[in-house]
Amino acid sequence: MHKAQDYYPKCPEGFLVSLARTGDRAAFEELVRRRQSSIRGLMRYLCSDVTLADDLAQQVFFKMWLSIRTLRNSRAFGAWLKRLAVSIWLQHIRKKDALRGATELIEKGGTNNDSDGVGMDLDNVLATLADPVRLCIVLSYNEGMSHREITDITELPLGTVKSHINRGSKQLQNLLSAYKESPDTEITS
Amino acid sequence: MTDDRDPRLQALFADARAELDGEEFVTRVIAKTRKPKQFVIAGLATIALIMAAAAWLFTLPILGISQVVATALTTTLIDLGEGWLAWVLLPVNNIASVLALCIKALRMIHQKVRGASYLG
Repeated sequence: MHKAQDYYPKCPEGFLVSLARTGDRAAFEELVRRRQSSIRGLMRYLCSDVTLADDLAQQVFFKMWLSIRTLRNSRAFGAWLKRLAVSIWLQHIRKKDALRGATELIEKGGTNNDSDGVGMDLDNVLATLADPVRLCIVLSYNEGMSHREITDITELPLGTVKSHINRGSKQLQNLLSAYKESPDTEITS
Repeated sequence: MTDDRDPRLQALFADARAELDGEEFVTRVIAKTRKPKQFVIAGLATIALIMAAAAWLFTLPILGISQVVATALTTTLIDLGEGWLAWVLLPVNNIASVLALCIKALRMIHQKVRGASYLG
């Protein structure tokens, strides 16, 4: 005999969210299974450190479990989860007080070595950007968010978001071309 | 609103996207969500235990005190005998009603004084 939970992998996400809001742990587990890759991917781009990224992603899902009852619209789940992820990352960054010097490039070597090819290039180059610039770039290019949505989620002024994305895009292009020419050399601004 | 995105960077991000295997991660997350529940249960059990111990220790003294207080508050102020007047005035002819009136008066005075200070 089949249990209701056996059908969860086939259920639409909105239905699972509604069930998770009532405290259904199996529905929550299925939601984590579906969303873990995107949230961990986002965190990896933001942190450039796989272990830290997974720790923060874990915190995101834990917070999701604690506060999913407050989510009124099941359709807004994706955006809500992304907002949660960004706020967890910002909390982590604020602890480090790393939001200072927002527009400056930081000289840092790439630390993520568990992927290869394009992924590794991108990880290494993203790691050289300042935290707020990296956040705006990742939300724009990886998550496909508009400038307005990034403003809402990060609480940065629209002008700052635009400036971060423009400047960050140019820096990324320059750094990527330099990196492809000589990947062993350390990237400097 | 259309936001200008560099097509080459967009393609680069799209190429770099990879599905991460997450069974171990999911297990860790689920295990983490179980821990607080255990803490809550342990906390509630501790509180219940403390309350039971307190009830066992303090029930008799609390009962004694409340009996003394109840007797004192219901003491009549003026002895009106057993007639109908005594029954009619019973709700106000005791220490409790005098105390209630005093508290009411003090609150009114306090409110007046506060109101006056705001005006000043």
